[in-house]
Amino acid sequence: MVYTEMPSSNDFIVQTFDLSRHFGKIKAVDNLNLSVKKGEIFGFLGPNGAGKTTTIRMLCGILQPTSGMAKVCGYDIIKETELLKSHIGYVSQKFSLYQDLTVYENLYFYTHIYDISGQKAKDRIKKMIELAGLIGRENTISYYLSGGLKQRLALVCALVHEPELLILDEPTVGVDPITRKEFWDTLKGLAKEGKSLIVSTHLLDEAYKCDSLGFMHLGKLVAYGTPKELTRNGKEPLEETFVRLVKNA
Amino acid sequence: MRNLRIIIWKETVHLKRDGRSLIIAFVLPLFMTILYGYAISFDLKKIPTGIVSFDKSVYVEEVLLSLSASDYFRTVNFESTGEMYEALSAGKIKCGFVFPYDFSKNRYIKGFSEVQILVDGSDANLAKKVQQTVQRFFIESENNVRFLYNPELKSRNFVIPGLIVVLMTMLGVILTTRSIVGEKERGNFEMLSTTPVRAYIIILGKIIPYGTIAFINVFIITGFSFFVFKIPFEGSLLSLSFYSMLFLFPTLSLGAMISSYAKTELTALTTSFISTMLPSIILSGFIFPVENMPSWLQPISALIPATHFLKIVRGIFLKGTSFFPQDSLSLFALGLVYILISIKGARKKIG
Repeated sequence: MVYTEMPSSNDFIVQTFDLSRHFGKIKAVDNLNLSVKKGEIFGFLGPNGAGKTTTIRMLCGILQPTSGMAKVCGYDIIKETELLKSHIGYVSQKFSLYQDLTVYENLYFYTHIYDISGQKAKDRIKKMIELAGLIGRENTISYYLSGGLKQRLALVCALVHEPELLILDEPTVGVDPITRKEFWDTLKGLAKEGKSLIVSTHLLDEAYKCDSLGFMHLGKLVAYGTPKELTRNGKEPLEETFVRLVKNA
Repeated sequence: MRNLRIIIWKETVHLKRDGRSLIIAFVLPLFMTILYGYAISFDLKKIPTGIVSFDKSVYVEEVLLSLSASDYFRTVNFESTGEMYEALSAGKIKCGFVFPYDFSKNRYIKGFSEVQILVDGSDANLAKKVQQTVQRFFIESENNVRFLYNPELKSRNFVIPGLIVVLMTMLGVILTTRSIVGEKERGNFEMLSTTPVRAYIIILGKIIPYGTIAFINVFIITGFSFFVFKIPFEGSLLSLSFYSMLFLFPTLSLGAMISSYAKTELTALTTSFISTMLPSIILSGFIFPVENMPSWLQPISALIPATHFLKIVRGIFLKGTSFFPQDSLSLFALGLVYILISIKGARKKIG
């Protein structure tokens, strides 16, 4: 299908239309139609190699789709990547921090990368240090922070420009349960403030914390709904739901 | 452009905290200069030389005197050629002169005379040098040959300016690729690519600080070689600066080209070593003259920026020349080609 004019809705922060990305013969993402509502936490689930990261990369405007279209924050991911990029924040699997820079320097760098400078930058950095719970640690070299604090710093680095949408690609890989819980509390707080979040994960306890879920398998979206809907009103453990979905696909 | 400033700032902070890069940037060049200046000399001095003379004339005495008086030879007399052969095969002497009985007679009758020279060929490099030294000795003493620009034919005078080229290549390419690819490997590049800052600004922000370091090193090494090694500097610092900057264009583009294709720091380092360091040492004329290379290799040597810059640097240091139209054009053209390939590579990565 070819879209001459892109349908759009103000209720959605992300809408994809037959979005595909092929790598040679492999269809990493295959005609994906996905809508994510504004102001909610969307959990992006699926086994490794399902196409989550590829989708996320396209939504961030760093990977061109093979075919199809998508709108993120109202911007075309192909034609308006520059505008799009200043409205989203991205946290990758690896902590994208400069380990040899201090907490303050990392934040200073990212605020200026987003063209925020002067007093505005100072205020923003202060706010982010508070949000990350890093008061008093401003001059610590990031390398010496604990895993949990590194992750919070990576999160606030992606928030310096107050993006509408925050995209997190498996942000809690290799983090202990307590830190993970604290991290999710922060994410919930952000959603409450009105930010939209896309979180890819394969940890099921995290899936329950999302407002809605999309399950990807072999490049396709095989299920979509609230955690309650997907688990037959909570009667089926999510784990079994996934096994069922993968088998049926 | 404001983004460019912040990337340069970040790069200097990295550099300040990364001891290894600092050592590569400032200690290694000086260390290599000292090493090349003192330890590596291609000049042979006091070659142990055997002498057998069947001609006991005054003329031969004179030649022998000038031989042993020169810096090149340390003479040992032998009674027979057999004895001299033994010494040669034992490695006690590296070459031997046999003066025939009619040496001085021929000199007066024919106007020239022949001497048999035996050179230990087991070390081909040394043998070649011995041969050259012997020839030079006879050319200098018999004919009126003047060696212009480097009258003593000191290899140091010709190696150290060349070292500037090798070190600049090393600093420009290795530091730049190390920083770009390292960032790619750690996932910082991915994060940066989700921000509005453009890829070429990032690359430029990394090239500028390391280019500056390479540039500063030109003057450190020049100063060091002038004051410590007394290497003549006939040209102007202005033209040295100008051509150094011109040379940085293809060199840094090459670094960017390697970084845009290499995925890991190890690949980048290996690639930059094989594709820039080795050719700039071996193929550029730094040690082996390009004119000696087989004809199919010479065009390849022309593709290496170091080849051209080497001619320029030696010209500035030893001859005081300031115009190098052909080499300048080559440097510029090479830079253009490399930067275009690297932009294509960077686009491919993003696309």
